[in-house]
Amino acid sequence: MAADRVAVDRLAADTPVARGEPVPVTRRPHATEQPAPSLEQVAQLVARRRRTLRIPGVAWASAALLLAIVLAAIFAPALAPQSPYEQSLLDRLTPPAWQPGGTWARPLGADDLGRDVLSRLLYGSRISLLVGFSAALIGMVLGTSLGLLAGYLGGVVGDTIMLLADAQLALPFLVLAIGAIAVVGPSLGLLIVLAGISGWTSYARVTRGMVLSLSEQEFVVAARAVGASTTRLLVRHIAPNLVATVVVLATLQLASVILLESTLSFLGLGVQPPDPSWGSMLGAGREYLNTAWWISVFPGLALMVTILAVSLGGDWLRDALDPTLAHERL
Amino acid sequence: MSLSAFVLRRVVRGIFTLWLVVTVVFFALRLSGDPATLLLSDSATADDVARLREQLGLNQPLPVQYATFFSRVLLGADFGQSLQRRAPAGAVVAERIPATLTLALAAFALTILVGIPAGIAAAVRRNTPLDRLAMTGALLGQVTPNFFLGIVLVLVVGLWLRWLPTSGDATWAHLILPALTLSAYGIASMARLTRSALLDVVRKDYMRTAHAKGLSERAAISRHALRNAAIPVVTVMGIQLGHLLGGAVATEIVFAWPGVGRLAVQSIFLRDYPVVQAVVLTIAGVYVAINLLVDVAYGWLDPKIRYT
Repeated sequence: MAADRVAVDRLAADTPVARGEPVPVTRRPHATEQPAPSLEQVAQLVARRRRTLRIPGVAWASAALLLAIVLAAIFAPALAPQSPYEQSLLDRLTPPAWQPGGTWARPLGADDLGRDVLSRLLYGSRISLLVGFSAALIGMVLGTSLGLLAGYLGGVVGDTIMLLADAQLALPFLVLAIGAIAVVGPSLGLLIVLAGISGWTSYARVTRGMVLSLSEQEFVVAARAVGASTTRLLVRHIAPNLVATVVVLATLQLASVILLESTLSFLGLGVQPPDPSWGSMLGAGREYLNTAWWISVFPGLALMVTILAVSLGGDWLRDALDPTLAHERL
Repeated sequence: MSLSAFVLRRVVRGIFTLWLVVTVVFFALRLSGDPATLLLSDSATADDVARLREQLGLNQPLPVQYATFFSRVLLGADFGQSLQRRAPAGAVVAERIPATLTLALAAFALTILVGIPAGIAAAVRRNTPLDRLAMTGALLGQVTPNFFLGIVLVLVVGLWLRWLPTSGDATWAHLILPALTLSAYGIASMARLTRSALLDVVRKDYMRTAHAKGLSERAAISRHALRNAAIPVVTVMGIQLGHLLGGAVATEIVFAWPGVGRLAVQSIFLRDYPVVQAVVLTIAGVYVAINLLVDVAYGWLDPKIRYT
């Protein structure tokens, strides 16, 4: 005990704090690079951990923004001043309310067919979120289950799954999606399926890696020793340990899935007219850029703010729940 | 693993990827119905369909068709005839490749010439207003869809300020805005990556040694830190080049840049399936080749990677 005490004191005397120097703040210290931590260092680590768990302003802001977007999507029929489909040729290309010629009846102006831009924007959030959430869910279920299989079964099945993932990662997905749409023809269903498939590889790779390391752990070995079946092992013992990681990945994926949907819709290969989607509104407004910038600029801003909120939220969630995922940022 | 075994493994993986793409493309077209009716317009007669089936070899058994398709695509780069242009689909794609290549290389140059210095400046002056400005800019660059950035540039620089042309590829000035649009994401990620790689390195022991032996900050950074920070940056540079070649579709559309991405989208609307197929397979081939080169270069630079 006495010897321990001395050792700790000697280590503690050697820390920057003891020497009265400013402490260099490392965000993610690598455990392997450091000698056994002194009491001060442990205290610092605990304090730092508490600090990261305290929710920072950026995370609140992005959560608030996301909530606003989700509420806008849910209550679009109540919030929208007009129907998103109703055309009014007299109101074609009406500018936003604060511009000369604008009216508060059309706060963000009207498009080339006289449809209210604000109403289409509100309804458009439904498409972005519908495609975003369902595709993220498809990718999550597909990728996590394939990753579980690959990790637990290994062998030929595992190798095949990982080869498929590598092959998909070795190609620009947008180009594959264009090829698929050329054959099947554009539709909302295909869009959701494609966006879902686009993300499964990240889940599969991360899940497989975690399963491989978890299967070595004592609680899994113990469960297997008392005769638990493979299914029971996977469902009751391994899967619960993956939840935090998978949730973080899903949030990070959400941004790229929304981007894929809007890019395809912008190209005219996703959501088809007259349905409003931010990407297709941007694409349609391109021809009127010289006379009516508001048709494409507002949906673009909505898209940017949504992606910003989702990625900042995802980054924070990752740092708070699972810093090991840092390299999976897409 | 020796270098040659490592290269061989990567080559096999690249070939597997290409095989998978060719196979998926082949079956996608067969599963979605009769390719002959898909390829012909709605007004085609039964005779036309029969003639095309004969011409495409569609009346042969599926395995034979698959083998023919495979050998044509991989050995002869023969993707069939364009339905709109009365020319081989491969030739139609080939004449668009220089434009895409010019755009991608210009964007790649911007990514490196702007992104890396910005990241170094941010790291050297960390936690100053300059650093915060650069990192906020990088964050915005990463979350802005490139087609939206393109539209804003067309609107502000092209239509309001009238500084630069925004459509086509007639002069070198036409290249500026599309290259800027396409490189924005790359510049942003490169700046963030360079900054964090450099900050990781400056805390290492050899940097303390460099300072201790009396090197100035500038000399320590340029001689010791930059070289070591370069390893992750070089890898991502390769990945970025692939992204630029494959991801130029939306940018080409915004600026009416006559590249392969725009060709693919136009061909979908013209129902010119052989051309779409040729674009998909060409881009897949280029992408796989670039990945292979990057992997091999990286395995040669950093032997540790061969074992992972």
